[in-house]
Amino acid sequence: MRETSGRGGLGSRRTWLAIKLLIPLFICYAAVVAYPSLKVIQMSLTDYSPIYPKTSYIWLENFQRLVSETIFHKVMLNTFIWTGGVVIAEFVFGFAVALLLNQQFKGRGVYRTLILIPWVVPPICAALTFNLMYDPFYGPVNWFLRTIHVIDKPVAWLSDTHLVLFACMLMRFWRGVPFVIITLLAGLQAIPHNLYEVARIDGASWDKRLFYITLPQIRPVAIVALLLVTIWTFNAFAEVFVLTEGGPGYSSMLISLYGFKTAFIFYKLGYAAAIGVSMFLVLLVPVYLYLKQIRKQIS
Amino acid sequence: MLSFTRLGQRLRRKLCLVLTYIALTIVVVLLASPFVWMLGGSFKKLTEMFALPPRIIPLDPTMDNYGIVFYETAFVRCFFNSFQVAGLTVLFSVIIATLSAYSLSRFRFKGNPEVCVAVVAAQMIPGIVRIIPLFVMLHRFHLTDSLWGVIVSYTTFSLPFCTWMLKGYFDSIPPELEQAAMVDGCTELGALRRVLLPVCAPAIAAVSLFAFIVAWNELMLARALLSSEEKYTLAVHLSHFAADEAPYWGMLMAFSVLITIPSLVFFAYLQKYIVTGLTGGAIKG
Repeated sequence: MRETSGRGGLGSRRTWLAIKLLIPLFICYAAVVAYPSLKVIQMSLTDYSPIYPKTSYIWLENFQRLVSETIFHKVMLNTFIWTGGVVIAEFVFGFAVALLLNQQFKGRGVYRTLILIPWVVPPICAALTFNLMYDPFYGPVNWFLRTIHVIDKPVAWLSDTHLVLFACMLMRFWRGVPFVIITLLAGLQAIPHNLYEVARIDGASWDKRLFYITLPQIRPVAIVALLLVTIWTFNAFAEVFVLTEGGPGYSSMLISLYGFKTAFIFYKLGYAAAIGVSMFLVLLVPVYLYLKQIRKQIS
Repeated sequence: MLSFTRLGQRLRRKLCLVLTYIALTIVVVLLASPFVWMLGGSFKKLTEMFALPPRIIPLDPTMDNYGIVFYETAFVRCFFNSFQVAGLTVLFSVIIATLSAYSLSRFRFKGNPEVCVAVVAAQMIPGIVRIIPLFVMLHRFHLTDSLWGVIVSYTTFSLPFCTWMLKGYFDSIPPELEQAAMVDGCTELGALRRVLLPVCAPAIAAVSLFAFIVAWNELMLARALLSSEEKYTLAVHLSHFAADEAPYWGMLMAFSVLITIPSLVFFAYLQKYIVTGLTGGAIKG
């Protein structure tokens, strides 16, 4: 008779099976996550470049150079503006739409499906399309804005150094908001109805119900989603790579693209590794908070 | 007998509903418009591409752009490359994620929470940090220009989210189901296959779609790793055209539409499972 202990861990046979099941994951993890991460840290301490035969340890020199480099400051600032702006917009807008979708009405499934379209379109295709849409003279964006009299002269979304980052952020927002909507919607749907019933019977108005029931109930889901989206947005690459390549100048350069260019166009892999490590350091705070939340939810 | 206030309430509720429909329709129109623009652009001649006023549907549509994509680019070969890569990524991701999630969900062993946290932490790593050492590693073994390197990498990129989602879904299903099977003499793996998996179809579907999208759309790693043209994936090939001095927009739009279609098909086929799969899974933790 086999041990039928459900989730129990009685018996080393079950423990051994559990570990065996995890072996493929461990292999992938070690080869593609653990080893590369350690290698990157090691590389960041060298001046490794595949086009030069000699590599030596220069220790923290890469980081000293990074910290004093004005381009790096600009790129970091861009990335912070990008991350903050996109995430806030996605969550405010996403929450509103999720609230709307949380009601029972005919055709809800259709709306839910159509809303996911931006997530399905490959980033490179979206970037090309947005490039066309942002054309100052022939693009529909400017045409639309002129028609409703918001602007009267053509706006150069992708050539104006002050606007280009915003234009890219809009595209990322477009791509990212479906995930936020669906995640928050899933969280809203998990809230038990009787909580609302009781509040309604007690005479609570809709704003009281929102603040005292909806928001607290959705908090765990929202925090996990917020941290995850923040990290993903910070690491974003494809949008700027295809849309502007970081230009004009460095006005829309994000740190992931900067690292990519340093590594695969300038072939300064040691320096690029240092950029990667600094990205990771910046992310430590949200990552730590995220993992703490996860740990709390597991136990 | 309807009182006046109750009539007011019903009117208010109807008004809310109408406003909801209007608001959601506006949202959907905004979100879908770039895709619609892409679709329209793929049928436009160059003259209409840059015409005023901008029209979604061209007055003089043409299939030339699609002709150029099929006959003058390496689209077909790249399609097969991408298909191989995505297909194998989905297969490996689903298998490994299912086994891992089963282990993490149904077995209590020392270090279980730690493994969960490590799986989740893997998602945080910036793309750059992943690909630079991968590139160096594969370069040393002269394996850079290989689709297998890409497949294994993509599998590992999608594994954390997939494992997490499946584990959450497994957690929400009572273990009594498998226990019943095991009482009848089934092994754990047998119970997994016969009892748990059919119940988890929505989550498997959601996980497959996620892995597919990761593999089908990914650009950074493929671009860095693949150097010979016959190994290019669709995304890489398109990115080279996009970097041209004077890009041929009609062709780029047609190419884009063609890249998007498989994702859309896969998505439409599985869409009813996605929200259910997500709901029971990663969200509730």
